[in-house]
Amino acid sequence: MLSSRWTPYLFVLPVLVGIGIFRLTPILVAIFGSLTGVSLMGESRFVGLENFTDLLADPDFWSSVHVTLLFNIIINPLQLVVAFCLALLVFRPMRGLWLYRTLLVLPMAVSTGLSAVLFGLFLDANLGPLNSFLQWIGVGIQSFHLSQNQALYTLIGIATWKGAGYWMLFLLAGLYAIPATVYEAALIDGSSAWQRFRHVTLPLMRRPMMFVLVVDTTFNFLFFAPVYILTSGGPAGSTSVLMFQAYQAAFTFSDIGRSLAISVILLVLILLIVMLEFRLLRSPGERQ
Amino acid sequence: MEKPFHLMLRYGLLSIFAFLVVCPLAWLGLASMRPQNEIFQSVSDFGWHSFIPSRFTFDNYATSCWRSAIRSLLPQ
Repeated sequence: MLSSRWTPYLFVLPVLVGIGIFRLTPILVAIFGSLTGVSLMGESRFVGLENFTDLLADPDFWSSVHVTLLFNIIINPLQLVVAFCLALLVFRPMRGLWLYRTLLVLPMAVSTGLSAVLFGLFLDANLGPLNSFLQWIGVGIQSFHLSQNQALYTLIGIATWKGAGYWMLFLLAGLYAIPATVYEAALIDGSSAWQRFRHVTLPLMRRPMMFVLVVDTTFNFLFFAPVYILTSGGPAGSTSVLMFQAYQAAFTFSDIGRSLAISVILLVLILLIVMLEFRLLRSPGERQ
Repeated sequence: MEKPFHLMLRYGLLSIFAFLVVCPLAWLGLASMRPQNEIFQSVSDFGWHSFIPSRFTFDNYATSCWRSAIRSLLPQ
């Protein structure tokens, strides 16, 4: 018989080993790697915080931080609101609901890379049906991801198209988890539909919404494939998010130290913002 | 029971959302069945043919399957 004191740890051990090898080790490697530089001869040496000081003095880096933050400030609330609206719309039973639910989660079946290729064709200025339609109604041809002003918003649209149905599922599950008795009590108290939504649904949806917001934030800070496929950070750096900068530093300019430094900064940035979100969405009575 | 107006509103909104989601995918599926010479079309003539090919063909599927079959047989 194993001693009962160590048995729980034994059961958790496989997962801990997995997390240690596949999650924590890369982070440590990145942190140490960000303190090294590679010379022209290909030898890596310790450079201290040089990578970071270089970054902080680099206007490209700051414009990339600006782009990343702008992207996230728009896309995270947008996806949360759209997903919540969709969840509310497909919550209560009605005829043909299964069809709408199926259609709304369909983009989940398309890979991120493929959806970028699809929209590259769909929004094309010469061949795309959307531009054809826009010209037909008289708006005129838009260049979407090829224009400096529209590129970031195009990417936000594509990511929302892809993500909203997915996040809808979590919020829908949250809506189902609210007990019907709470609504009955509210009805007996003579509340209006808006009051039920504002004072019953919203407070009880706090946890699912917090989950979606936090996970969505981490996803969107690491948003990469559509940037790489559609815009390559352009035009004029207007979509050069930090992930793309990190990729470019490593695989275009072979500066692994700089790339890892950007990754570490990104990690710290995500941690800070997720902490901020936890703080903002904490219920008033809850203390931690 | 839900009021008829609310039900109509729900159907309307859901139809709009579903259309936005499905439109690019439907276009992708239909475009994959276009004949080669029709894939590139000018944006200036918008109509049914922007979505519906003049004739449906599985040539594109056949060529891509054939190509990947050959490629899988070739040594790397």
